[in-house]
Amino acid sequence: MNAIRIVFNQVFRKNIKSVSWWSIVLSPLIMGAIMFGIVYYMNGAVKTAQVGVVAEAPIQQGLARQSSAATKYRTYPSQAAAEKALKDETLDGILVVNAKTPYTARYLGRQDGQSVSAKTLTTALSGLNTAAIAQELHLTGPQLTKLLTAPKVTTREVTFSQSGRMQTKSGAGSDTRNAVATILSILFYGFLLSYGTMTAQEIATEKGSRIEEMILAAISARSQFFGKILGIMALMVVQVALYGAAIGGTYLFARNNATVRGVLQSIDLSMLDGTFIAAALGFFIVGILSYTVLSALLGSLVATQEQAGQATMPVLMLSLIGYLASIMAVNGSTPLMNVLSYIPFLGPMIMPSRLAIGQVSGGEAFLSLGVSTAFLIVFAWLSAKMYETNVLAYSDSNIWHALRQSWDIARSERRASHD
Amino acid sequence: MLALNGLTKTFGAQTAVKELSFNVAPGEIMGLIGQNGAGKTTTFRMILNFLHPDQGAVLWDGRPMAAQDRAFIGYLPEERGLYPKMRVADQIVFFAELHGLKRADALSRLDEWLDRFQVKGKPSDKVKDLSKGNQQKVQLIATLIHMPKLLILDEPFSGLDPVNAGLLEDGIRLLKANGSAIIFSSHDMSNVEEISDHLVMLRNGETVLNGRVSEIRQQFGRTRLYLEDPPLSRDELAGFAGVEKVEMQGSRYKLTLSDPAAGKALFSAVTARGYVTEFSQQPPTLDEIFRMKAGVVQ
Repeated sequence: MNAIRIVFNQVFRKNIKSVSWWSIVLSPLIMGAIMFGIVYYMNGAVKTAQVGVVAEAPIQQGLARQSSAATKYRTYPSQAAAEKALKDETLDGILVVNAKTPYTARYLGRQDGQSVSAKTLTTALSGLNTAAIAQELHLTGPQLTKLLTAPKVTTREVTFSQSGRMQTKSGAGSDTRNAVATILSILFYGFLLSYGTMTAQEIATEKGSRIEEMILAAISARSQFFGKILGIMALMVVQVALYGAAIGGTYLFARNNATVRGVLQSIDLSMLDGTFIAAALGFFIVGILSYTVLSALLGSLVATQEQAGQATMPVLMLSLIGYLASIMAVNGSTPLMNVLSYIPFLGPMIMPSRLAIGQVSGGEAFLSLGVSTAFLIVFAWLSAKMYETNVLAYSDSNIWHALRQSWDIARSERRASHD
Repeated sequence: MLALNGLTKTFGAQTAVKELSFNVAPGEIMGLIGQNGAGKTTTFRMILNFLHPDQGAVLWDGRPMAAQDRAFIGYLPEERGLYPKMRVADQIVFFAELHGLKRADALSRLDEWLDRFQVKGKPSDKVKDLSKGNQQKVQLIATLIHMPKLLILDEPFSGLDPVNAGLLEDGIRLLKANGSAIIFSSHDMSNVEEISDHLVMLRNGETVLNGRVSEIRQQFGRTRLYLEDPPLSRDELAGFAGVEKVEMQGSRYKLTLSDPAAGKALFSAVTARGYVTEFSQQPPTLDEIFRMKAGVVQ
């Protein structure tokens, strides 16, 4: 236990002081901050468009009432007066409205002024236009309201329990769900790539430089293997905690900002219930651990540090399959997707997305999590066993040749222990 | 005490080590020699418990090595390497902790060891910023700082200049004086001859030499005769009974004798004609013995 602690401390301290780990942690934050800054600047940089309205008084008043932060409607008695204001750059454009129903209008926008879309103007005029036509047709207010009321369609997703009972799902709209599914896939893929590569590199460096043998002269391969995996997991926990702190800090700092409030109000978080959070967290831990163990196993097969790329390739390929499948999950459930969801390495990437979009039930998700967890326990035990002989196998050609060599050593060891 | 009792290790059809036995007592240095592929690394790996013998046992103080905490071992592998981005102190302390030393104890010993090996660099320097020679010294310190009771050095002298080789020899002698049992392999027989008490030579996994260095040399008889400025010509020397070969080595002759007894006749003949600067009859050097033994299979 003491040996595991020493290896854990060494892995954790060495990486937490390294530029490469901080670049893994900070690059998404910096990217996020830059994107947030750009959006914030663009929102702040856009001035209110000034539109001069040349029309009959009711239309002018109607439009003036619709002035907003984006567009301000000003009334002008004549086109000449409006054109003068346009020339003086008091206005960004002039809207000349012909009051004959249905309304027709002409907009003259200054080339270097704030742009106003035709859609904005059409929307602003359409209500006034409808009201004018209704008046001509002598429609009452309630009649007009009735005429304008659109048919209402309510959507609800349903699932069927084991007994065949239909259950209506409540909660978030599909946009939020799809967004959560996509974010989960990207987060998972990003973490496993970073930590898988780090693990393989770490072990490849130790083995390639023969530090490994110095370590194993003092402690067991198993202690070193688990100490390293735990150290890397701790780094990941710190990264997640830092992101949590960054998000919390940003929220506290910007919670009163109108844009941020608007964005937060538009997100329906009702889908993030206990089942979903527990399953997503479980898949995240089990999935990343599985890939880390696989990376450690493959890293222990290299002979030189230059071969580290060979070790990470299978991890990249396998995780890419999982990533693409998780992204495609939003397009609908297929038999292939059902099978892939229960395969270790792939299930932890696919299932959270499918659960997020309501394609599978919590029970199915936990069954898949159970399969992956059971696999992880057996896989970690086997990997630690293989690691003992992998670190003694050196092949300059490729890691598959090293695997064969390792297998020969393991066979010889099994025979020796039976004698 | 380390005891290897009849170790045999095979990989498939290949026998890497066959019935190898030797002991290394505390305060004793043993040289393990042999060509590449002779079985030295496999022997080290069995002592270190990386591999398990098909037959035989590795014992430390009478108990199987496999059943022991291995913190008392120090091992320097043949190919050198460290964590390039770690600081010298962190690196050495990490290995010291792995071998059971407390962090504070390791730090308190650090300066003394850096001085002993004359490392040019500070404890706070990153390893990659040191010269290759100094990196090797740091690795040696990481192997020795916990004063291992059993020290295994695989080709420790390779790549070291004569000054650093001397520092390493001093380090090895320090541990010997401290009662460590030491095994090292080397291709340089002068190092082996100089510091080993005992040596084992392997050839294709089989033990071809095993004993104290002086005894092994004596086994081959005093068949080498060195003469400086002899009053006899090369042809006259070659014509003596029992002289196999005459070679010039700088200003002196080296005679290879088929029978050590021929030395007496040569001594009489040489001294009868007056003064001779050097007349030295010796057993073959370890280097010659190594070549002879390795040559059997060539």
